[in-house]
Amino acid sequence: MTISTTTSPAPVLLSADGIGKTYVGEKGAQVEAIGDVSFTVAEGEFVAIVGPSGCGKTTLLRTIAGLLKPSRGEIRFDDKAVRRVPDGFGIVFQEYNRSLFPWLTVRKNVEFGLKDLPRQLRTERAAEALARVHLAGVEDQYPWQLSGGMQQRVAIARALATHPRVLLMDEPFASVDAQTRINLELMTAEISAELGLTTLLITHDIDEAIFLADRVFVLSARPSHVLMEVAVDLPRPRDELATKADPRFLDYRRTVYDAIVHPTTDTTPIATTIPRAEVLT
Amino acid sequence: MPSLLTDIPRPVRRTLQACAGLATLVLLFEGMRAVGLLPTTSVPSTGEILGALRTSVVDGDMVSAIGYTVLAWLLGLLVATAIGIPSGIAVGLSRWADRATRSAVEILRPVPAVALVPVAIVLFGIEVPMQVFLIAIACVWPLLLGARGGVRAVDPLQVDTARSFGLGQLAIIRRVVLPATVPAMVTALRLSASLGVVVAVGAQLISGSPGLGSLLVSSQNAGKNDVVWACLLVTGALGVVINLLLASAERGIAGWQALSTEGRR
Amino acid sequence: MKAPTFRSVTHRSVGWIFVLVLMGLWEIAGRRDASGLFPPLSEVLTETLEVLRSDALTNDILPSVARALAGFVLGSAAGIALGVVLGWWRALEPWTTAPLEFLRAVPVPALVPLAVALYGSTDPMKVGIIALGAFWPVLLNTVDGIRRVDPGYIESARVYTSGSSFSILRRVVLPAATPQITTGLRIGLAISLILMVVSEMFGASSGLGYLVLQSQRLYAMTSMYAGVVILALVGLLLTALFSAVEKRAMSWFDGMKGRTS
Ligand SMILES: Nc1ncnc2c1ncn2[C@@H]1O[C@H](COP(=O)(O)OP(=O)(O)OP(=O)(O)O)[C@@H](O)[C@H]1O
Ligand SMILES: [Mg+2]
Repeated sequence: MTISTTTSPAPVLLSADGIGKTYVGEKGAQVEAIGDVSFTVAEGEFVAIVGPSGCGKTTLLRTIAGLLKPSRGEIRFDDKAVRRVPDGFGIVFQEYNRSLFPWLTVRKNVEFGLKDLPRQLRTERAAEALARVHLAGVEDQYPWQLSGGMQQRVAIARALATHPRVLLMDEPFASVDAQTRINLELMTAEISAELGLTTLLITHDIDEAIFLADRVFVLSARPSHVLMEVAVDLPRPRDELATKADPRFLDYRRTVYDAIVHPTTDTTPIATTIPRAEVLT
Repeated sequence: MPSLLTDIPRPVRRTLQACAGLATLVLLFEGMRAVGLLPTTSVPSTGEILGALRTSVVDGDMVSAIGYTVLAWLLGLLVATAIGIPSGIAVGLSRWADRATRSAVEILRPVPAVALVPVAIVLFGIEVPMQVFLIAIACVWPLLLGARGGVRAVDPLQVDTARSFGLGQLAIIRRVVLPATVPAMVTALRLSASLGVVVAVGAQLISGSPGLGSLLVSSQNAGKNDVVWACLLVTGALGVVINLLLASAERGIAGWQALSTEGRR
Repeated sequence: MKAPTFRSVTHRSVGWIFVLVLMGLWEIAGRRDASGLFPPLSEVLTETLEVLRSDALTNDILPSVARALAGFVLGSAAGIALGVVLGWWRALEPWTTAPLEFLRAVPVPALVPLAVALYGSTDPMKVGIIALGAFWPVLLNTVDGIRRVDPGYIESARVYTSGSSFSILRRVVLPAATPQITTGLRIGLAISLILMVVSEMFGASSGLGYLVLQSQRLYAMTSMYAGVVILALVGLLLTALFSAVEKRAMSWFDGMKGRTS
């Protein structure tokens, strides 16, 4: 073990501390969506959270974002407890077509979070963000005139335009075709790296999580806890063919897959860190 | 098989078809007179109606009747909008305000506005303000309920999106809730507009307050049946103009709604 | 357990408290009014009860309700029937739009003086006028509702049913258009009620509307307000009846949906 050679880790930017969420319905019916989830995200890190459908991923993201009050535990950002959406958060929602405002053009949608800036700067920022997601020339159209993949890119551009420090994305590529999905994944990786963004990606796609992330958290079924934490040591920039053919990629994939398909019956939360050496052997 | 109709460019064809439809209506009317379904003694011919229209326009009766009706209608709608839309938004936003006022709304809404004509006469006399009062009372409910429903139907995800950009309550209302509610409000306005005409004419008939309704009654009492029919023609035309204006406003302002839901299917 | 019950009780009663406050305000305003034009609510309600106990109930009020109901039902039935025809056979649209737009734009109250002159102030005339008032909104909403049915529904209906226009219409198009037809019916009811009052107040020499107008002319404010309250109650009654029927019809409709899917 060569622990001593690891460079000192970047400071923690975002942390979840014993988060739990129980929904209480109209008639007092309770749904425990999140059991007990804790983790930390370092500055500039790309973290993916995978879990089966309905396990509370969206709930977790909304809690992290400060849109939902957790029943237990605390989210901390920049060493302050999160009570509302902090400045410096950009969020891309799962149902992007519903989150874009249909009465605003693409440009106005992207400028939505820039209200306080002078007009000139707003226009520049919007153009820059749209260029980053490879969407130019549709500024004056309405979101509903665009294809699903284009709408998703508008939603990403809108989050980027505010120059966030943290980008939260909830299954952003779930409802686009395979080719578009690969393009969007590559684009996301490139943007995160270039801007040094701290990125938290929620997905149910194991390949996507491993392909994009530095670390992957695997959630159990509802009420969710972290089944496993996988540090992904694959070279960057990642490549659709080379990375996915890398034997380490396949190992990570098997590990995560096993964790989801054969979760330990033990209900106490466990966090198995798989060191690089172990996976390589 | 190319037919005569399909060879004509669409807008021209549409106009021709519309004219043919209207001509059929005139023919039907004249036919009913000829057969005796409508008594020729009291129902004038199309020519006589148009003639009466011309003379009543020239001597100014018709023009002032239209003027009063449109004035009352506009002011009534304005008052109803000024009261109904803000209250509708308020009860849409606040569950508490909604609960507090719902029973009162449920009780007051079904009251037919013209039943209040006597009350309105006592309060306002028989000039235009009385019509304005009644039109406002009739039209305030559709506007209130339309705005309330529109606010209720705002997608919570859009509110969350706004919150994710750090917007506060007021900014969310102004920048998300209000624009999202515009289509519902325009639809409610279109509904109220035709209701307003019905109430205006009804109130004029009953009270003799100035407008097309009272011109209709006074002409009938004077035995001028051709003017009565000319009044009907004018109220119809007025209604058509109002409907066309509002329908195009609805399409223009709320176009994104129809298109975006279509696009989502 | 106690707290939620208490809360739900206050939730339900807060609306009625507001109504009571409004009624109290009327009472106070009425007592303070010196002009005699605004009687207190208690006097109006006493008078209302008296009218309801007199033979005016059977002579004037119930016939009003019956006419409004008959007119609304007839007008809606005609509106739905014609609406289905015009909505389904789209080839008719370009020919019929202009004349219908004109006819429906004539406010129905404007026809009342003519109708009175031609047919007298009779029951069939009143029912006809009320029916015409309900007819237009129901017709327009039925046409619109049917035209807006998702073509996808119709296509899948062609696949899964015998494919005849009639069965598609009955099993797919009408159910899908039901919400908008219901909207039309609700508007139609409101206009029917207005016409019920107009047809009674204009050119009539008896009936509830006539009595109210007469009281106004005689400055008998208490009986005028009592009449207005009764007209309002009739509107309330018919609207409540409509809501009850709508609820039953809709639950049947939901049940059917649940069974077939
Ligand atoms: N507002 C709510 N009220 C009550 N229960 C809710 C609410 N939102 C979510 N739930 C429940 O919480 C659980 C987790 O929901 P959530 O949307 O977070 O799952 P998810 O992992 O994002 O699912 P998916 O992969 O399908 O997006 C589900 O069982 C859901 O039914
Ligand atoms: Mg989700």
